[in-house]
Amino acid sequence: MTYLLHLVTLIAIYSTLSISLGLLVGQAGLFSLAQASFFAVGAYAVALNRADTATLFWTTISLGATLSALSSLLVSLPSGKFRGDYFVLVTFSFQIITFDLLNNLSDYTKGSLGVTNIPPANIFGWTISGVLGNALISVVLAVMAFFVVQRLVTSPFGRVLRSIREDEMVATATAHNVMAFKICAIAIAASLSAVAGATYAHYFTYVDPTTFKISQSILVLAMVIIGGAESRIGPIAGAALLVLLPEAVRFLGLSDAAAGHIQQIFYGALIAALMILRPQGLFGRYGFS
Amino acid sequence: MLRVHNLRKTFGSVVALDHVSISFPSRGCFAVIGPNGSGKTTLLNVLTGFVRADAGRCTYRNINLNRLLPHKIARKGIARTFQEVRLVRHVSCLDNLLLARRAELGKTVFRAIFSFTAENERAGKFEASTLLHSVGLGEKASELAGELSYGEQKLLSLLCVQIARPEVALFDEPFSGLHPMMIAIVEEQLKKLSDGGCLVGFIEHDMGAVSRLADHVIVMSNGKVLAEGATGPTLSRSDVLEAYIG
Repeated sequence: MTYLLHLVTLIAIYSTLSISLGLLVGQAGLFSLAQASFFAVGAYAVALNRADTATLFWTTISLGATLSALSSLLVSLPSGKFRGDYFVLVTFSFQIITFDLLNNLSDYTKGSLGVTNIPPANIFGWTISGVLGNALISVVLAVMAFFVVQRLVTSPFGRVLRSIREDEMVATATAHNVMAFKICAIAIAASLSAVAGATYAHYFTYVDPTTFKISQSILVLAMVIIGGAESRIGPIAGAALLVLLPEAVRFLGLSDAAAGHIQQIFYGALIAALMILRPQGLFGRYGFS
Repeated sequence: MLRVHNLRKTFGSVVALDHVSISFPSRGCFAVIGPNGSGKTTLLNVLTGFVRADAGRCTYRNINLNRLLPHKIARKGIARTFQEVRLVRHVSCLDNLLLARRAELGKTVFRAIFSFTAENERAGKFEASTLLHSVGLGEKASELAGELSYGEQKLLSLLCVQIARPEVALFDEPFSGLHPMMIAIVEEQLKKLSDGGCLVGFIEHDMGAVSRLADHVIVMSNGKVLAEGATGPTLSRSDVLEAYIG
């Protein structure tokens, strides 16, 4: 049961991340490789906030989300000039720099040793230390992220993002400030990723920079693409699939060393097969060309 | 109203606009004609802010348009279409119209997220579908814009301008590549816009459409204004005929 709840927690945390990236990729056509950085900002905001261990969960989570939204300006402000592949490069650079900062600013982040003994979440005096409580809170936050993004997608805001995805000139000619919409979408996605980070830090009570490497950003992007970037449940399905698939390999009775390689083969084969058979993802309609 | 003064624009060694000064009529319908490469589209692009002029001024209601970004010019009530059809191809025709609707026009991020009500959406959908029905595209409201025929896409881009209820509407070759039946529909829509008090301007090579629709014509050649005035007399000028027919 504990193992199942652990999987539920992981799926919920990754779903929050992929839902946030789904807003960027599926709606605005902005391929970001920096989502793990914003995930890190949320996680480290919780990990390093030791002023008062009883600090409310909502305070630290809001702090992480705000810091993340602010740091996203470093990615979104150049997005006016850098479009398409160049935007991916900007987010890639941001991801590399964030990882290096986490690793090297040891005085603040404890560097590669990581931050240990992160207190469990405290919600209105209720300390969530068990696996059930963490599963619950991460699911609640994933559901909230889902509804926030759905509200955005179905609002005029979503309509403008979709026009930006396909033709920025159409969005401009219909009197929309493309830059402002991009900045806002990137900031919202960064905040939601930070929320996932905060939940992660509280659950694992330990964070170190290796969790927030470029491979993590690629994993989240793969979840979004495999599930179907534009669809509602695509990012969640992608998150569930890519969390459960490596876990399934455990039950094949392979040695640890072989299991790791088999996981990578599965993962690569799945992406290759989908790109050939369903480029729009499992549940998506919009195929990226 | 809408004026350009001493406008100059070069692309490398090519002079697209060479000290162009025009006072556009305040209402009605005008056409900009001229051979390919005479600077017509550049003029439209400069007027709508998509291309920056090297020198000169564009003004609308005494506001200097040169300093405004294209989306801000659109907010002033100047709408346009492009020579190649530009639509949000992977969304429905209805959504394309809702994006361009006047109530949505220039919606700020904050308003786009928070001032969004079901009634407003319903009103928008009603307005958009009425417009689609009026040109016989009613059945295609939920189809993806990219799946329409070329002519229908062109018509939809015109409707996107119409639903924005602009004060000035500029069209880049609205009739090119269209079937005569579709030309008649487009003409009717442009006339409707103009009759509603909007200043309609269009770039065109089809002299028949120009004669039927425009009451004022601007002839361009090599980046300069060759002739300007009432359609009939201007089109029969010998220098205009020479520049056009050669």
